Amino acid sequence: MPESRIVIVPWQAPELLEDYPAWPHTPSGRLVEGHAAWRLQRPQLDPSLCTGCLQCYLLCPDAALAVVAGALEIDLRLCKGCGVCAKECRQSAIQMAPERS
Amino acid sequence: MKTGLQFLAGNEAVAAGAALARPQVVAVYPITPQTTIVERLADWHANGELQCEFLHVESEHSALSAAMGASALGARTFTATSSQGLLYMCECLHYAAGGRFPIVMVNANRALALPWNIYGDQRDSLSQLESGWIQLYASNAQEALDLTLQAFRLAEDPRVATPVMLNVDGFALTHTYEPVQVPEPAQAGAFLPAFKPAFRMDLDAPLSLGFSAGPRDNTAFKIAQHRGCLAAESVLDEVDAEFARHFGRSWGGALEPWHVDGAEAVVVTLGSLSGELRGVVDALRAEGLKVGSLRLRLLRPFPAEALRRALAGARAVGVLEKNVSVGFEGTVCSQVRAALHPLGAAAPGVAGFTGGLGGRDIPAAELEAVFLGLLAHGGTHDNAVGWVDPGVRDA
Repeated sequence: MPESRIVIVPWQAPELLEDYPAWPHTPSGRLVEGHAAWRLQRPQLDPSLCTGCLQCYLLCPDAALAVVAGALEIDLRLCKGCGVCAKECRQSAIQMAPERS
Repeated sequence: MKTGLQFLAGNEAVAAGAALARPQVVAVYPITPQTTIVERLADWHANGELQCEFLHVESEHSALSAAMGASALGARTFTATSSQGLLYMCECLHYAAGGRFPIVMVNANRALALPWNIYGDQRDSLSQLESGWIQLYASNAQEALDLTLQAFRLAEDPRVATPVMLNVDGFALTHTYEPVQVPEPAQAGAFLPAFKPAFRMDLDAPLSLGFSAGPRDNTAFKIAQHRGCLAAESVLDEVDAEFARHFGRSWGGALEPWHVDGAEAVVVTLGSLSGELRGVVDALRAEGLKVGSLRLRLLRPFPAEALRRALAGARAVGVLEKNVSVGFEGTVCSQVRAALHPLGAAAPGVAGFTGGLGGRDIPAAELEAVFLGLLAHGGTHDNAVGWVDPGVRDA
């Protein structure tokens, strides 16, 4: 599996208007706001079931899943706990577990 | 497509202008009275004259959504709609303007339901003045063709980067046949070169499109968007001057004055009604009355300063529109009133007139009566709506 972790550039609000992007589109990888604090359930990966199909990577709305060093990795700083990855995984390699029990 | 002098309906002129702009994507849903624009473009796409992606979408919401996606990929994009279709696009209108996607859309002005009506008035586009789109209004078929070409130059100018809505009066303009000069494709290409997007989605340089901007950042984007829209007024002047160099025709900028200098009473209007109004001005001038008319070609950005300069010498101003903001007064009237307010005590009185709703013709005698009333009584300083030839007596 190719490396796919995007480099996250934290958003730094400019002081000057002219330093803002002229329109609300920027090079990918710029994180304007993360939503980890919304998370009520966290995805848990069983690497022994993962076939590397990357459906979860393609469908994650927050780019929280990536391939790092040949293995799927979930970055909980980005994950808002929506559960799309667990729902879509054909191998049931991802299960959602409550954040607080 | 036949070039040179042709006998065309307004919609056919718009379609010719759109095809000559060589859009890479056309995403449209048909609706009366816009349909013949779509039909003509579809014909040329089918016979190979128009090389583009022609998207037959399932709704107007989808049409403008698809147009935004195509524009984000750096494609020159055209769409067209009318009335209920424009309202169905409403969410996407704000989205496209905020995203600074330089889409060009032609809106065939038509009444809004209820009561149901398919004929022309201006309530559809005027209800969307706050959507962030540049709004142009054409007065005849030649201007509709020429403005379609100019609209792409305006929208795609990096100082502007704002979508353009070009409005043509339903039936009065869309379905009326007139002699129209259709430029040669090479001539149109020289005036309007290929689109060079200021930003584009690219596999090699991916973008995060339309990211969120919270309370800290939101205003900064709106200031930039506001300035981009404001810049369109002077860029329109530049684009028209450039157009004149290529085609030998000039339409001017935001305003088209007709005998405004020295006029005591001036009627401000927009769209095809201005032709009839000019005729009435000529007739009254021949009788020695000091009257004039002023056509607003640009409603967003609103040419407030130019309007103040043009109307500063008038004693009474009437604003005639095929529209009413139910519960207040004519929308355009409010804008003109606000623009003249800085003149203080010297400001002419402004009276609002609403007519032509649901496609009702406005006879020249009624326009004469508007002028005579303005000369006799001056403008008003209240917000009463003057109903022009409503077709019914108020007991």
